[in-house]
Amino acid sequence: MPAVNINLLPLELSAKSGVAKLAVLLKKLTVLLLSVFLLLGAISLAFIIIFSAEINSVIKANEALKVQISTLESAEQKNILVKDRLAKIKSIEAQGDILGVVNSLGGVSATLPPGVSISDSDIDISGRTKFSFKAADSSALSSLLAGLISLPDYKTLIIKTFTFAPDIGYLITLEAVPNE
Amino acid sequence: MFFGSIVLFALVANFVRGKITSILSEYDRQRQTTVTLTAKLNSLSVNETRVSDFIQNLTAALPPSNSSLLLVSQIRGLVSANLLYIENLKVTNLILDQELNHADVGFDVEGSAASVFSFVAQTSSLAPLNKVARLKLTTSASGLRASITLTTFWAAFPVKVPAVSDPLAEVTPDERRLLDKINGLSRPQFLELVPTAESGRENPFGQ
Repeated sequence: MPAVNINLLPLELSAKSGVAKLAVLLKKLTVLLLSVFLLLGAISLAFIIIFSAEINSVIKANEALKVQISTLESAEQKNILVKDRLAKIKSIEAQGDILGVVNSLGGVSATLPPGVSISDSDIDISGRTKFSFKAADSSALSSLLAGLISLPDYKTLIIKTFTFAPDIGYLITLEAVPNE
Repeated sequence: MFFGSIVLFALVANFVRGKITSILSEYDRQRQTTVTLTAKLNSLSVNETRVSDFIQNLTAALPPSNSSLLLVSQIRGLVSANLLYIENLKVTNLILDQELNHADVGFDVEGSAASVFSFVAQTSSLAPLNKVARLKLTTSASGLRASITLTTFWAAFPVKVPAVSDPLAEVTPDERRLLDKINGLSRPQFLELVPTAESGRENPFGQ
């Protein structure tokens, strides 16, 4: 028996065919959208559950590592102490020193020509340096000056006093200007 | 219905996106912590004994308390080794700072010029660390008389330990070279004066 389409509504109330098609289309789209929504929702939920579990296991592993590190606390304290001492020693090393100048002067002193001796010297951390030498004769004096000029720590040597006395010879006082 | 679905979809999607972003960032943070902790644990395990060796030399080079007495002891040894005569030994100019404390140790030595210069050069190889701050030379009957001022340093030990999860600061190559230099310093025979154990007086009436 063929299907009979019975419409009891008045004909003016029945939907137009275009609107009816749109309604069907929207209905299908809604179903499709809801399906996609549910699918993505399920994937997201699975993602959240899996990663939350993973985070929990990583946190547990980290806690275990922290416990292991705590057992090596004394080694960590020693490491901190080493770093602290090294940082402070570096700052000491960065401070000025006159040892280089003293060593240079020692080198000059070791090679002083005969008849020359150190009479007086004053070297301080500010860089102010004063040398006094006694020289028996002029050749000894010129050898001394040649040695002093070769000192690498000073850029200028200023003769402050230069005297001669027949009984002791030449007495020369120099002031040295250190390198920048 | 259709537009309602779209609005619902947008709201839920936005919420889920925020949640996933926060989970991913937390995961990354925890993984990074794992890497840091693992590296720290490995480093501590490997360096445990080596660091102990460094400590002794570093503490001798930069003691936690006033190092003047240690330096005086070292100077006396060096004076004897260089056959010099020492006098006017004094400690002055004590500067207490939170980071680095220092004091000047002044003294006069007398002897041959070569011995005096050798002595001054060798002061740099002494622990505790010191710097030649001033040198005044005058001629004397035995050769040279040197008035020397050495600055010696000390610093209190650190009191704060960083959090367990903080990364461990490794010794850099520059610091390694500095350590080698420190290891070469001549250490004093004592680092601190330990009181002798109380002998106690024997009870003459005891059984």
